[in-house]
Amino acid sequence: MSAAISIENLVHRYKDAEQVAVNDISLEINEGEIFGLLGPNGAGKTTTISILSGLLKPMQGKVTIHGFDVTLQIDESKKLIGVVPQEIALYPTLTANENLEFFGSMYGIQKAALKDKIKNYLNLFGLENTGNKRLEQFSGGMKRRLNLIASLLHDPKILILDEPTASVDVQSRNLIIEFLRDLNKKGTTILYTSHYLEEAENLCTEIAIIDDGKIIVQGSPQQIIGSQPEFDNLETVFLKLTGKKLRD
Amino acid sequence: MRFSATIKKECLILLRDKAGLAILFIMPLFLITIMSLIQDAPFKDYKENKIPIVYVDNDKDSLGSIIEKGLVNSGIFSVITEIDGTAANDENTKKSVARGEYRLGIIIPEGATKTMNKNVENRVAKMLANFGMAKKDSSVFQSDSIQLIILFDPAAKIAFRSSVSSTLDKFITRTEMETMLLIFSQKLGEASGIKQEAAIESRPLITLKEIQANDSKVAELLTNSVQHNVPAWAIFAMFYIVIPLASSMIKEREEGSALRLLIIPGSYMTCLYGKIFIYTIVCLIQFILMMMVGIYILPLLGLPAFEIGHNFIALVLMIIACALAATGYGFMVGSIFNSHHQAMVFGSVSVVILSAIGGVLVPVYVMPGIMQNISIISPLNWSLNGLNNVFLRQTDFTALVPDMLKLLGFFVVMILLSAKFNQMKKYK
Repeated sequence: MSAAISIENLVHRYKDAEQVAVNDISLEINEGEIFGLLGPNGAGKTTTISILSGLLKPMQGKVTIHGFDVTLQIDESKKLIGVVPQEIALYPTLTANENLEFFGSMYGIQKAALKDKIKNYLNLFGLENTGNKRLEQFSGGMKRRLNLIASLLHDPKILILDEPTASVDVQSRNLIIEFLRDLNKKGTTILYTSHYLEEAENLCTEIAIIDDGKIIVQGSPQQIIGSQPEFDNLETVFLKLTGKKLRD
Repeated sequence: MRFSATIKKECLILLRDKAGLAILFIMPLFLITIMSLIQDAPFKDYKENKIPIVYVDNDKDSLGSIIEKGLVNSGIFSVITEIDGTAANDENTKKSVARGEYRLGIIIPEGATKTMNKNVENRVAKMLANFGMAKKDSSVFQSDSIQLIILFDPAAKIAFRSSVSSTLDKFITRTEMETMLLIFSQKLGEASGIKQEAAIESRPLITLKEIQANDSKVAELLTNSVQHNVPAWAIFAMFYIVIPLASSMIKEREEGSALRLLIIPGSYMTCLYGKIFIYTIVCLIQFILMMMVGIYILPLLGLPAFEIGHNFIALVLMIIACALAATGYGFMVGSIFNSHHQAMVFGSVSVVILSAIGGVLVPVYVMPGIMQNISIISPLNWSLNGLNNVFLRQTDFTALVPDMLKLLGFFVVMILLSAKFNQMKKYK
């Protein structure tokens, strides 16, 4: 399998910050994988995703997406990825249709094709009757689903999700997870972060646990759990590896 | 496609923001109406807005009557001789002026006419004696000056005091000269033994005539508050777009939609050009609405109708340049600041400062020298100067080019700075 995402010796420190946010990370995410990047708050997950998305310029290291350097070939690499940010990155006073039409147009999707896609995705995510409703009238779960749809309209080869199931009800979470599995079966590589470790354990084919900007363990969920014979699930292994100290 | 999508999105967001629409369109209309009404008085002819002056004539003789007549005929003052139904006297005049009920009082002392006549006679006698036409008599050369008392409201401004004092001084001097000439001619007649029948002409030998540097129609406009206020406050309101525009940009960043735009391939700035376009259009609509208020609403309130002149193409180009400069400024403020609070405080205060130094609040020519030099840095000054060229001076297009170029240059600099700030924010 070829690498969908390749990260080599990535280092990033925020301006005026004492500690580095990402400290010499190297990893490869193969095409067709569901890769879980897990870690406590402030571990460096969102920084890594921001660099992959072209939002941050790394201080050191090289990051490529299907061979395209994210700093030198930014537009080429951006075309290949869909990013679902942690926050609801949509316009609250626009309707679901208006939001999706706008972001789809920004990707250059033709009007007719875009309308079909929007209709299909709204049906798929149980939002078929809410197309003309403003986002500000949506529940948290509905917003999360729409946030995900907005990142899928241009059919990305890689989908990057930053805590896509945070603050949603069980039904919405289940729908999102099932959708991601189906999407992955159709060939989309998925990079995903979450604090729901059971969800990650069930969904991901490969996991990296990151803490203080460094990868402390990487492998399949079974391999990681197996490496700590006294524990039988990812959450307990995670706590052992990252400690119980509270993070900011 | 991206541009038209952005324009559509901005239109929808703007149309659904009722408070924002009120700030953009309704508030400027109120502002322009109220400012035109308030500032109408200083522009009106003095005959329409006379300064009330309490007049106490303790002389009750010719000098008192001449001064009263002079005050009435000056057209500047309305003479008041009664306070609350009582004849004005020294005491009630002092009290009412001190309380600010009247801004001005004048007291003519008792025997003023007699004293003045005596003084004039003495001076004339001295003059004639110097020419050997009369006998020298040292006792008659002593003279007492008459003291007219002018009372000012303690809150009256220095400029008002000096202008009133100089007006009073002017016709008191004239009265004094006329009396002196009259007595001089009588005495001269007596001394020479020739009967002096014809009065000496006292008409001023030098007079001032005010002529406008352009045609009479334009001259009328120059003394018209609407013609001054509508463009000035329209520019002020256009630059106030800094608040909704910066707010919209910050909101986009706070809500996260800007983040999604940054993730989309292509320059983020291209996503923002649609915003610039829409807000420039908003500025143009604002200006047109304010012109309409000047043309149709202000006359209903007793003010003159606004005249847009005949150089329509020059006007349109000038307004576009102003709108771009205003939008560019709002765009820069929205790019620099991270919070609504910061942007609102900076945006509103900076527009007030730029309008103050730019001549919107007070004309540049009445400012101190240093402020006049500073005023040339304000884009509101370039805008106002350009529009005054269209509306008041009615110059040709070439006269507008320097201000127009400054405004377009300002717009370009603002956009480049915004791009730089956005880049810095992105790669922090």
